[in-house]
Amino acid sequence: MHQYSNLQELQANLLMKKFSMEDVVLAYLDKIKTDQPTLNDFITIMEESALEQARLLDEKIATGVKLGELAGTVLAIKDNILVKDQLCTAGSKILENYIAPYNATVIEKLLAADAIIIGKTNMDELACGSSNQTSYFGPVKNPVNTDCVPGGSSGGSAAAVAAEHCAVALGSDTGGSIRQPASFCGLWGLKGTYGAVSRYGVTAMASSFDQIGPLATNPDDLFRVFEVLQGQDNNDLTTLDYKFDFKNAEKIDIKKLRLGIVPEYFAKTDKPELYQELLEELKAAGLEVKELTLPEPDLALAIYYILQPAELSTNLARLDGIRYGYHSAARETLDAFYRNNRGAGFGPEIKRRLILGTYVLSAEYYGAYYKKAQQAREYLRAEYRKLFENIDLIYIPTTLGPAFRLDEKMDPLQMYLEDIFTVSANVLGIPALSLPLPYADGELPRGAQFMAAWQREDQLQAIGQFIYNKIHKK
Amino acid sequence: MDKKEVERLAAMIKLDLSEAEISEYTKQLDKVLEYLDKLQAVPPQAINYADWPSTQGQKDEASNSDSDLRRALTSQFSKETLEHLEVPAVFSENKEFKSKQE
Repeated sequence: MHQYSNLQELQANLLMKKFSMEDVVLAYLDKIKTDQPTLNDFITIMEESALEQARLLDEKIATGVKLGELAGTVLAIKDNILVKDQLCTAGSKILENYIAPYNATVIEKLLAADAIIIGKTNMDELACGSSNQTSYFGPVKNPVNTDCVPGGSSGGSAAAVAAEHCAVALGSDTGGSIRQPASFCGLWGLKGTYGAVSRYGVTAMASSFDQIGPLATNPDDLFRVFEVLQGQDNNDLTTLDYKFDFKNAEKIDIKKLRLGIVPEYFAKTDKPELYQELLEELKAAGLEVKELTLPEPDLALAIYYILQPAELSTNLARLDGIRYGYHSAARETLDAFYRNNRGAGFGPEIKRRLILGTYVLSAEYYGAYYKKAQQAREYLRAEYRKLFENIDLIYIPTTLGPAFRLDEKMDPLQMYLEDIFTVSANVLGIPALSLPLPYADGELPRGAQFMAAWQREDQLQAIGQFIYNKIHKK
Repeated sequence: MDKKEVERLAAMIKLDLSEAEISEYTKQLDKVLEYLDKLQAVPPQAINYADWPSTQGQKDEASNSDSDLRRALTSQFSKETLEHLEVPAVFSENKEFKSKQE
């Protein structure tokens, strides 16, 4: 494998012709083919098109054509994001043969920036899960320790980056599905402000929470890819009118950032001292630290597990096997055909959430659950808005502990509790970054999470790059 | 949540469930609903509607579609007025409707 520490270094080497882009892609493909039987991180390997893209890039370099911002970046794409003419299964049997008729906006942006797409990654079925064990295509294993899960639902994307099957991967984050796998696999993962990145061409899960974002091995690559992905899109009217600029973070004086912490959250983890050590580094760097009293994280989780299944049950009504997707052989009546298609096409986790979502939206319980959860969501937003008047960043753990063993957590509620520290950012729509705390060989990684106010991804980049230079580069 | 409720909801969303699935989901979802009651921790008076944010999304304005494309499409129809297609009025000029009325 060709060694380079980040995208900038790779681009410099390509321009100096130390190696070709075709060499780089071939090296990634070799590694994918070797590891796929063990890790199962890909659903589709796009060998032909990736090599074709690489040769085109080599031609551009040879002829001196100006290169795009992401030239040389080899990316894997979560299988709920449409890549034209490729399978897009979203990890579900009901979409096992679905071929994408067009590119998602994020894919158009990546291709326009000369990035290379190497494949589509495995994921929890329809992005519902926190372990990547609900995929119809089988579980993904964590490259750090193959007895453990990689997290979910973007587990395939995280495993692909951690196993050096690509430089960066795209995931989607509805309740923590980028940050939790990033934490479990020792990576950097970013969920932007709700509306920062277009959702056009993404299999809708819970539309008021879903955001696409990158996973990478360093903050430089992470935020360079985010810069390309981010921006308003006429095909997604929830996208916001602001532009993230990669260069702005260097103008931020780290000593002027006000950091909020919640000591009880550190205490809830299996190794509070690790979070404390990072805090001491930040204090030593001059950051002002304030202790916060946040609403109980249980509240955000309860809001999430009412609104998310409600939105899911609405979005998945279209998956009936009539126009596309899995068709059952039982066709006695139209009603039976629908029921069989959906009954056989969806896995257990989806069925559970469909029942729950329909329950909270039903006339009898709408007021007690759905409406109340919407009001509670606004209450939380108001609380955090007040909070962000006095602080810039909130520092909390990403998860309660490191990656757990495959089949260790099979109870749904126990699995939902995995999202306890990540769902707040989705409920509020604020940006959040998970970065790896230092860990020794043989240990499992854990993630530290930073949340910023709406549209302040630049502050997340500033703190991320500071920590990377101070700790990870040592 | 009981088995009947799960069966009723599954029928509503056209989802075939086996007996074993109905039993399993009933138990699991009952436990989940118990947890979701933590929602009641929000004091109703804590919600100040005046503080609610305005929508941060794009402006709610209609925009014209691509005029060249529209012209290319409409030019293929026989009756066209100012880039719009002319169709018979549903009630007053529609012969089928009139004959039914008569």
